[in-house]
Amino acid sequence: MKFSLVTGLVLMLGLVMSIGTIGMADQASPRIALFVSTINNPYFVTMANGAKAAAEEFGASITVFDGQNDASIQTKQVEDAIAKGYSAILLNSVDQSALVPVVKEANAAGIPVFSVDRDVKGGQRVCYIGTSNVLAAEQGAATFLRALALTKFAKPTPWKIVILEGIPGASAAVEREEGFKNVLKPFIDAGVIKVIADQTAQFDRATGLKVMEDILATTKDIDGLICANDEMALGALRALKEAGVPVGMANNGVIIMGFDAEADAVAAVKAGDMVGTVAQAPFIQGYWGTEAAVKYVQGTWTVPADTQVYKPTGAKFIPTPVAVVTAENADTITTLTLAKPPLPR
Amino acid sequence: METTGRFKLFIGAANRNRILFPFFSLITLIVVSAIVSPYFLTVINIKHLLAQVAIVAVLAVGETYVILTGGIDLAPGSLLALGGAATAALIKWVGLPIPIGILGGLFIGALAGAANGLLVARVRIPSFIVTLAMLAIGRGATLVLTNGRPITGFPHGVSVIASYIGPIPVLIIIVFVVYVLAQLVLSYTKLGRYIYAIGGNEQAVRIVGINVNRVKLFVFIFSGVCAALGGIMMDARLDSATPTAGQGYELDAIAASVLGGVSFTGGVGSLTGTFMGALIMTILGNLLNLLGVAAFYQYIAKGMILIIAAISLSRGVRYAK
Amino acid sequence: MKGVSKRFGGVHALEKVDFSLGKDEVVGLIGDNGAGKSTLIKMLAGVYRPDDGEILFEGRQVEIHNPKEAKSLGIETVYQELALVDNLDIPANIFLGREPTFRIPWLGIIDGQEMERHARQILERLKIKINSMHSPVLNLSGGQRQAVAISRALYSNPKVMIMDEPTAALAVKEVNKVLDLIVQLKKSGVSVIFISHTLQNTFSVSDRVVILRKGQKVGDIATDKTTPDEVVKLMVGAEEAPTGVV
Ligand SMILES: Nc1ncnc2c1ncn2[C@@H]1O[C@H](COP(=O)(O)OP(=O)(O)OP(=O)(O)O)[C@@H](O)[C@H]1O
Ligand SMILES: [Mg+2]
Repeated sequence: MKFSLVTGLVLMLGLVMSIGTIGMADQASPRIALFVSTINNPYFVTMANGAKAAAEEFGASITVFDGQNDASIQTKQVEDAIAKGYSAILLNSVDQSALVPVVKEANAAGIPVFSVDRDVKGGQRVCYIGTSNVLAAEQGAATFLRALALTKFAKPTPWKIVILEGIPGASAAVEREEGFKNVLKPFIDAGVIKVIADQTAQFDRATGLKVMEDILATTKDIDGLICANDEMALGALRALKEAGVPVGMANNGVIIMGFDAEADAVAAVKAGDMVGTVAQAPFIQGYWGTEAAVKYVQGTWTVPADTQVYKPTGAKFIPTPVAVVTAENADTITTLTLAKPPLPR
Repeated sequence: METTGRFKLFIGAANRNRILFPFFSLITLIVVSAIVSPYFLTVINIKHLLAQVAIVAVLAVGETYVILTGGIDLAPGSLLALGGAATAALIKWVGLPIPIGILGGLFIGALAGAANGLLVARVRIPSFIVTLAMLAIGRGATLVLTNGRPITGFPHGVSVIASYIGPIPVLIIIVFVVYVLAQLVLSYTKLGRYIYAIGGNEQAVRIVGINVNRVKLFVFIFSGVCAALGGIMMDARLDSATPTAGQGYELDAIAASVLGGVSFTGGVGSLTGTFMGALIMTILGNLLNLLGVAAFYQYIAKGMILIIAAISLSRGVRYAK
Repeated sequence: MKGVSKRFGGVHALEKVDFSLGKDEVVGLIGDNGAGKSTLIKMLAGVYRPDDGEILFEGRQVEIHNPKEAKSLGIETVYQELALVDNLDIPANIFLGREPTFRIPWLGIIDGQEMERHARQILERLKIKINSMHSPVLNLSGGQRQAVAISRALYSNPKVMIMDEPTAALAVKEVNKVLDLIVQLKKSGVSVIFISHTLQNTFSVSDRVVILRKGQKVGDIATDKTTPDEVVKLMVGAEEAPTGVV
């Protein structure tokens, strides 16, 4: 039995070749804790990489905590970190409201809090470093409309489009939907565009495939597809190709717009299968967040006086760049998304 | 009814009754779907439907084996991702030939299953706990392996797995073969008999000198292999291995088993039922999408179906240990 | 068995108990609840290992590590907590663990017809009528279930048959059937250890009674040299053991 216990555990551990990077704390340098909402998504992996790059560059140690998209887990992690006395907290909150109490605890303990990519609705934050999903989605929808008009101008309206939404209720899903609708609504009302399906595909590639397959069973007459993330767009793209439906502007096919500028999606944009994908800058968010935290702790940086306020939450807002990746800029986009532009002073 | 063939299908009288509920549910669902949606019985939809059911169905085979012994496996969703990613990495990064890469992925699934099995059978930790841990570990290992990013674009051979022979997806053919073999094992072999027996009265099985631990180890390894197979099928379907693949699929696999009449306390049920359960789940999702029902209601509808199934089945259960 | 002891944590289930069983002999094992009867026979059946003492079988010292070894020595057991698998049918229960298979290596394909034929034979020999061989044994009556359990034990022609409270929870008619069965077994050369809380039953079939109390042997007397009253006194400890105390 002992043998089995050991073998079982060794097998389990053997599967986990190394469980990431819980950095050895270096007492002298600032110790930064980054709480990402989930590591289960390339976006946040990139954010963590940006944070690590900055930590190395500015001589700090960084520990990344995976909140597993669970507010109670993240709360616990932040509480533990407060107890361990980190120098600063970078919070990519799972939930806008649920994390407010621990932010207040951190305030009480005198640990500065920076929110990254997703802000919270209360407590003291030094600043919010991120983008507005609504604004970014508006940019994506505008590019989508332009491509649709350029490709389908000869086809009688209404042009038929499909919208794939993210996980129902998730803040990114809600905000991106809002951004899409802000731009598309006037055209829908005017009868230029007809939404033939507006479904969730859970931000998931396999689900995107399945939902699009189901839609294709009802009609192949689709002019456009706009998705709240790339995973769903890529799954749906696969279903369209499988069904022999032409895609891309060059083929006068389905115009597909994604979101997040994942590597696979950027490749699809280059190949002409997708017209674009919205690039937020997770690397810069992680990088700036860490840089700001380190320098703030060392007293060499504070939030610039002329910083705007993020209206939904009232935090001081340092926006990171948003770009729509299209065939024209796809080759150079990584220089933008993996860049290390100077932190606003 | 006495059957006296030399090969006698062993599912027991009560098991036969438990097939009736999923069978009639499935027929009803198909008839209703055909009536309410003109697209349901189209070739393209059926073709898609068969491809869609394949992955959940293959996970459900392993899950059914485990549940029949009175255990539960929460790891299949994660091991799907791990097996799929391992195969993808072996083919794409290491450059191994496709069949070797597939065997490698299945082997990883077996290894993870063996860890589950050893801890459950020998160390006697409840399967719920062990496989819950494996759910986390499998997902973590996948993220480490893939560095959190999808592995995309396989050599052409992989997509053969997700292709169609006429309107029949290759995926469903694979699933069919797995089901037939797995049901034959359950019905006609000692191993299958002991799987049912352990679910019925584990103590009694130990007393007659059967190596219960070995049987349990087997079912968990088998479940791990099924999950990895599901992952490889997913790779082929998406032409990529995503680290988030299969999240929550263990629940679909469990639901398919339960809908198919597999008793949660073990010892009762069959794969025929499980396959019908998987079909019910998939058709329901398909129909709701065809009708354009919003996601919020889809969740509720699926939950209701499960409850109804559980109630109807529990009427017939006199098997609680 | 010589001087066997068994402890469960702090509980001394058995302490230095000697126990013997002759050929063709029926020994009734008697004792209050928790006296250690089941523990004693489980050591013979290979379910527990003794902490101390030794087991001799046909004059040789043996170690019984598991139920399989007990069976191969010719010791079969019908357990108190009826070890039937409720969801399986009668043949499956009788043959559990030794299903006849086709001679195809590795696969272990069960020969269902062969199994059913044998099962019917055994049940006929015990004169037990059961309508449906293929309904789960859960649906059988207590007596029928007992019969299935005994059939299982009988199948391998054992030398020693251990029966732990086979008559508990049975109707009088069915009890008599089981007692008849024990007499039959004895005649066909099987030694029997019989445990029952009904002294009347024990006395009607046993050649000898062994009395346990709180894990110790307090009596070992030929049945025709004692009375139920005397045995009860030994059982509850009201009187010192008159004979055979070691
Ligand atoms: N597996 C076990 N673990 C711990 N204690 C046990 C175990 N089996 C038996 N015991 C204890 O050993 C003692 C003897 O139990 P045993 O079952 O042998 O009694 P018994 O004479 O068969 O009683 P009954 O007439 O009620 O069947 C009891 O105190 C019991 O609680
Ligand atoms: Mg007892």
